[in-house]
Amino acid sequence: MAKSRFKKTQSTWSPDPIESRAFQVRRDNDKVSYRGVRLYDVDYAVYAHIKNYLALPIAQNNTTIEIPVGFANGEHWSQIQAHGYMRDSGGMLMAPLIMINRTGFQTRDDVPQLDVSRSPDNVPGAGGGSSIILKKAYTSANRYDRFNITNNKKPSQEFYALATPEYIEVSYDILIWTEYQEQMNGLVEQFQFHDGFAWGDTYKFPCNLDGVSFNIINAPGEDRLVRATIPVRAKAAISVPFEDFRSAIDKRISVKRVVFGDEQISFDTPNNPNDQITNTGDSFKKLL
Amino acid sequence: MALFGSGRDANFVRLINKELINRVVDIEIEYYQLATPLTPENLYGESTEKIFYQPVRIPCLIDRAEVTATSDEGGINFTRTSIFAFLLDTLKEKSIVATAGDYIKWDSSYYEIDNIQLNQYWGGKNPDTYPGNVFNETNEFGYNISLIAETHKTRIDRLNIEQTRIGINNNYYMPKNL
Repeated sequence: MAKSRFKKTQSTWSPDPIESRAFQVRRDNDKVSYRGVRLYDVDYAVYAHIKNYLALPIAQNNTTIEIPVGFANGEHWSQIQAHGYMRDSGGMLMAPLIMINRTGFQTRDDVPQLDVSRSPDNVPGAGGGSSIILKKAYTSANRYDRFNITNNKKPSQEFYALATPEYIEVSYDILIWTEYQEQMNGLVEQFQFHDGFAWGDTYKFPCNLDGVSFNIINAPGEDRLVRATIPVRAKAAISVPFEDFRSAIDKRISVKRVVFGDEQISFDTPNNPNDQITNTGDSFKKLL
Repeated sequence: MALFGSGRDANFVRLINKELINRVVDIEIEYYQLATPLTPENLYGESTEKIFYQPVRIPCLIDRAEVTATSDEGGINFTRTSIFAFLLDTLKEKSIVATAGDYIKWDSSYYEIDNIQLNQYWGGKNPDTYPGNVFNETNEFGYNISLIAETHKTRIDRLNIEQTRIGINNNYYMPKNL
């Protein structure tokens, strides 16, 4: 007996959409994976760029110090134990130091959202929405076969459709902490030269600075603070490997064989143009 | 002219204090004074190459507060305030004029002096400013007992005294991956 199938699992008022079988392609026989470009990659790009190009070593206390760069507000064990070299024997943080603090992200206005018309359940695999199509150079199904040649078979192409990335602008606050203002000048100058550059090592994202604010406090009972905050905006396109519980990458096979047949449609036309067509059900007839 | 609090009485108090702090309690700190004529200063009133006079050991009383942890974007930081009380006579003997901005080393930490308190006068009179003493109208009265330095623990790296970023720490050798 056939298994009963519920037809309205998603909505009370409308039946579940019927997926096209053209998109039901097995994925267990390929090794194509997609990790996406994630917020982590943007964070790492900013971190790597500062670490490699901007955190210039500075002279202090008769030594040359490489400036530690890190993300703000790590866990306690990380700050105290793993990065204990940033502290003196009493546990006090030692300057200089560069900390990165991600403050937020928002949609970019300067780039149109290409998949704006997509509904949430309309991921590329289900058709619709815009996607990026990539063709695989080699398909195992196309390996040399005498039978295909003799039968004049067209090789099938293997495509992978990626969801359109989201264009966002990630905001950071770069906190620079030095012992002396003289050291701060040298560091801040470096940042200014990299305004508008593509920051990163593997993935690169154009970054813009929003001005520098200095904060120098010399309050009694505390050590003198020389700090600068540089807001940075990184323009990024992020795409995730899964959207709406479905893979954001979708395999597609090109049409291998196209068969053309004859198709005719005939219908009765009224002799008098003023006559109303009252029953179209009988007057249309499909002929194959 | 007061009946009590003369110079002779003050001497008695002075001797007791000196014996108590120098011989009974006997906590010594190292007092660092910046050699300001030798220390180059930049436009911003700071020096990356601080030069100090030879430190001087001075007995004192210490009132140390608990270590407090503060947290901001830079991470967790630990700080501490302490109060160091010196006998003014001892400082005079060692030719030290303590001022805010000097440093005190104690318990392998360095403390920067934020504030100096000079208001412990025996009998309420400071012999240096008491009019009877100043104008030689009376015998010496009063006694300026102490100098109290209010300090906070400072970062060692900024002082240019010790290297904090090199070396090994044998005291805390522990097997790894326990």
